Amino acid sequence: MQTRHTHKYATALTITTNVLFLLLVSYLYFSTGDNGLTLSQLLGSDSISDVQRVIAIEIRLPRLLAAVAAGAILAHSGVIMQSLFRNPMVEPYTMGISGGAVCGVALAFILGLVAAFGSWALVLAAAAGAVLSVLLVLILRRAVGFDINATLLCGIMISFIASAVTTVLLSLDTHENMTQVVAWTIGSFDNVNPHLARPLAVISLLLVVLSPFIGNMLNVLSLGDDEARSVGLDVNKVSITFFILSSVLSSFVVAVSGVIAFVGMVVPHIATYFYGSDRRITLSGAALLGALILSATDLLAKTIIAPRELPVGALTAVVGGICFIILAVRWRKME
Amino acid sequence: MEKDGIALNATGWSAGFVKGEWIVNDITLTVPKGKLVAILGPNGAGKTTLLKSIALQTKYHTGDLTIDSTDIGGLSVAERSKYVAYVASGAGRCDMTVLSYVLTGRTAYRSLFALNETDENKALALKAIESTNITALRHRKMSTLSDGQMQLAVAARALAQSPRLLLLDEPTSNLDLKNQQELLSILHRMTRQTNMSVIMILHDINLAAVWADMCAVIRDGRIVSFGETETVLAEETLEKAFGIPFHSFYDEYHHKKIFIS
Repeated sequence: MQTRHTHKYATALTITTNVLFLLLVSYLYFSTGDNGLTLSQLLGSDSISDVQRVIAIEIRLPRLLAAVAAGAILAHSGVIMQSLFRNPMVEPYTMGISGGAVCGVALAFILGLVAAFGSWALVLAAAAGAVLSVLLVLILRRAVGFDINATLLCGIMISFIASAVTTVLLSLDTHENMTQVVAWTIGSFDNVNPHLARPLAVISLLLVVLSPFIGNMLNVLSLGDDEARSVGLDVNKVSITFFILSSVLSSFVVAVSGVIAFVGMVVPHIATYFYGSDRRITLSGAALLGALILSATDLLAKTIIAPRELPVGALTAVVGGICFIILAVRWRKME
Repeated sequence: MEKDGIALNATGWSAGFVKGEWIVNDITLTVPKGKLVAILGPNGAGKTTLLKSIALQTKYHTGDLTIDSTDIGGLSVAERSKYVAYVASGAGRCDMTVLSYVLTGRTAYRSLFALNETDENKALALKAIESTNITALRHRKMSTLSDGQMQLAVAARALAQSPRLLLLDEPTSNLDLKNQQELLSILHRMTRQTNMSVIMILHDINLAAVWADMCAVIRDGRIVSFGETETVLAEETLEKAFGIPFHSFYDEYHHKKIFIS
């Protein structure tokens, strides 16, 4: 039997380990590749050439920030959605949220919104697409009698339809737009927009800090809708609010990096293993772990076949897709 | 809470609309405070729908319903939970510790964004745990408990929530004889000590005969008989509800009428 104190120390130790690994990965972002920085240069004791400074600050830092933030936000959304729907396979990608966001991005390019209003138009368009997907999911969920497996299937179908619609929209448009938007359908942190990467990083940091305060609501929700309502939680209000908020946040990720599939599905399970099931801890823990896992994966993607690189979204899709199948088989047995 | 008074008053209450018919059809029910009430009836009689509808957890319901003289339909979900708690059969399957689970009963009594429980909530939860005799289990995970222990934890959670009316759907199913007795004696004591009323669905007529103050026998969504246990439990009533013959004899130990079918 664990006492309360050893439990606290174990959590602190996990967080520390997680953050140390994250620092290590961050260091490797700057030290690997052409014009990499040495440790003494990073710490400021050796001077840095202008080329090195430009590469570090304008290319590597935004990329690191985007990867860390995207991992954190996607994993966080995964924990929230899996708690709301009590299903281990639910996440922004499988619920069709990311697909809706890409559709929004495509429309923003085609309608010339990006050219006219800059990159924030991209964020708003992605959010609009995501909210549309959320509404569709909620309507279909009601139509299938709140059966989560059927809802999940609908989400996956929304994802397919959205991607087909994106392709149709693009084939009606110019070649430049098409090549640009195709980059969004499989996510990558190559060439991320620094003006979007920084606010995304701030949001992910806020999530880590503020999440413990919503943890109790999610703990109660994990009892099931009827029981949660019975102890006085306004289940409808709380779930719809959280569903929309975390969908909008994950659409921001899509606007910055494109679709990164399955991070939101897999990381919550690893986070539950390391941080336990108390959402006051697991939400922030999953965000930290998601940041570590996605930035490490991105590091792998950009170094493994250097000088060329893999799109990180393709890597997560392969690994995550396999995990999805494993979870689906185990979930059937559990039910 | 007033000492005397009416815990539940339902008049012309119908609930659960399926294929043009009400599952619970035009029921009238008055339960005083501090009573342990059993609902008996065959499968498909509408017992669960009735229980859920009293907590307004059914999609469709109509009629007049007050709990402690209050129309709970106009209350927020949080306020409503201070009046009535519905516990489905099989509740409590989760990965929380017993203490955390019991503390969820205090959800309506704290800020939604609170990081930690107030000392008062903790004290009340521990008191509820103590009165259901599961103090030794308080740091165990709910998923590791036996059915009997889990049912006691569920009762502790309901006690911590301290509603005016507690609705339990088959709390004794899956329990062995000793656990059935222990749970019912705790529920009985709870109604006496807190003046809360408990309405529970039972399948064992003799558990109702021994422990319940009042019984409602239901068939096809309507009440066959409702009142004091001694009056309601009679061969003809049970035969009418269940459609099989019943025989009774007098149990000298409990001083109650016991039934076999």
